[in-house]
Amino acid sequence: MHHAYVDQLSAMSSPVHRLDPRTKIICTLAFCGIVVSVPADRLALLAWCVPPLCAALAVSRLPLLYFLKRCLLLSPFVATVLVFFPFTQHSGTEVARVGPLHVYSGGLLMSAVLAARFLCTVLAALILACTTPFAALLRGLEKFRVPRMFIMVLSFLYRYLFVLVDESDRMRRARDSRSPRPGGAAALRAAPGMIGMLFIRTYDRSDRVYSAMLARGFDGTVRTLDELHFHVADAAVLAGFAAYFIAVFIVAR
Amino acid sequence: MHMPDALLSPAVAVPAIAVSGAALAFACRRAARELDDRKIPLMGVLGAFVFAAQMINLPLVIIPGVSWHLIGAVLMVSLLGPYSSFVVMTAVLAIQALLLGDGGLLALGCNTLNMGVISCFLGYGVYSAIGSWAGGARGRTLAAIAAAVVSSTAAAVAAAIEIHLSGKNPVSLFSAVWLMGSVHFLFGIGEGVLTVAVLAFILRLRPAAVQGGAQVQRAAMRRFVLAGLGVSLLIGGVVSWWASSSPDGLEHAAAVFKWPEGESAFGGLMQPVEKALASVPFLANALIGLTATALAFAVSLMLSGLAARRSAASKAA
Repeated sequence: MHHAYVDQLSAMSSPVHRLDPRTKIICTLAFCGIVVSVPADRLALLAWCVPPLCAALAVSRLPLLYFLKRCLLLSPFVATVLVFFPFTQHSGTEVARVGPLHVYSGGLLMSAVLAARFLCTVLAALILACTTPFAALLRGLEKFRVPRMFIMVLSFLYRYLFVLVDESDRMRRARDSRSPRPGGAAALRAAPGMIGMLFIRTYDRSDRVYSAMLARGFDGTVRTLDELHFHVADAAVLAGFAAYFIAVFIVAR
Repeated sequence: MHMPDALLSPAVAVPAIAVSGAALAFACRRAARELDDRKIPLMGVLGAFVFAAQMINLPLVIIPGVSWHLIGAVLMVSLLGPYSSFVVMTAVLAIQALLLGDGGLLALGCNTLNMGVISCFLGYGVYSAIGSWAGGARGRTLAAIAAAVVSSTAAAVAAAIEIHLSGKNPVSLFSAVWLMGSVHFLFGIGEGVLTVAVLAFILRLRPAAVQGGAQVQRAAMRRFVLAGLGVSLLIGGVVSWWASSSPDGLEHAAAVFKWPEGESAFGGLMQPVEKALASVPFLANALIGLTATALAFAVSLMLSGLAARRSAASKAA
């Protein structure tokens, strides 16, 4: 399974990995909220958001290069917006002129701020994903009153994600090895059959899964052995996080 | 079209989280009440199916080298009905945000609003309204294509409006709505045609799978759906009339609401494009109206569902 990399890093061990998922969820959400609500003209405040991120990255011993690559892969939507700003936001002074287009410093600044915010929020979300096994993340979310049914749907989704992605990979490989020009219009004709077949196999699989669950005494609730534990380290991280940003706001004000 | 956190402001993201969260809690309850616990593994595994189906890349024949894929919302709606398909699509969005960083964590509310609430509830409304009106295989074809086009366009326009309200829109609201809406209108046609073909394939091989959710609910929901559609068309019509009644509807709206207006909305790069677009103002107004209709319809559908439950409960008591 070559796509196992998706959740591979969360099986590592580091102080960040060992934190309670609830702590990490709170910190990540608060961090993203702070990054997004910093006004665009307060660059100093935004810069102060970087050290906690670096600290988390360093302590968790995650591969930095891999992270930056993932961020770049995720950016086409943001990139489109970033490209527009320098040409359409006519504030500040004129920096350059490219043919009929004028580039203004205000627009450049806006683009830079957006890019920085994007990197910070995506990195924070990826750190959360890569230091917390998905099952633990779900247990954390359950404690935050996310509907039980939704949690169960998510855990089934995660359990069968790789199975079905493998299935669709095999179908794609079969299609490409049988078509003279991969990527030609013939792929369109094959598509409904492929997706329909994938659905039918999925549907049958869910029947088998349900029968297997009934055979093991499923009564509508899922019981697990591992409970979440809120340690002293969690309290310390939360307190440190809060103290850091309160200090930053007081100093930068 | 997964929006990252960076493109949204808290003033937009937080209300969207509240609305989507309420919709999710409501849909979970409805889905749990409608069917037995067999439904839970089915919904989870179908979420994985949507994920896997999105990985089957198809050539965009007009432009070689560029590929597209099925989104799957309308397919889920036509197979599972609105509530379960909303839970499934939200689960897919949540996994993409939590596991892959595709779409921000705070933006999950907005993304669920666009690709869950609008896609599933509006898509279901259009699908069942046209399906019950036309009937048969031809009706189903028409209904699925219309549902895909309407929900895809409305979702894109809603995303453009959310980015604009957040003050992160580099061009004018007019251009953003038009660009996003027209591109996703075309994607919607592709999505609709592909959905119809997939549905026909499944119907031929496994008709039982299709008869499960949607058709049972459709009879009971039809009255409410038609009423909701009437109300929301009225609202949408009023909004688009209001938007077009002023000399420049959208700019006027921006002035009234004090929306953060992108500096020099009509300057620089977009000027020729905007001039061309401004010659057909009704298009953007129609898109705005459509989105307003979409939101109003989704809300009225949920309210009517709530009312139906109340009356059923009082009958039982």
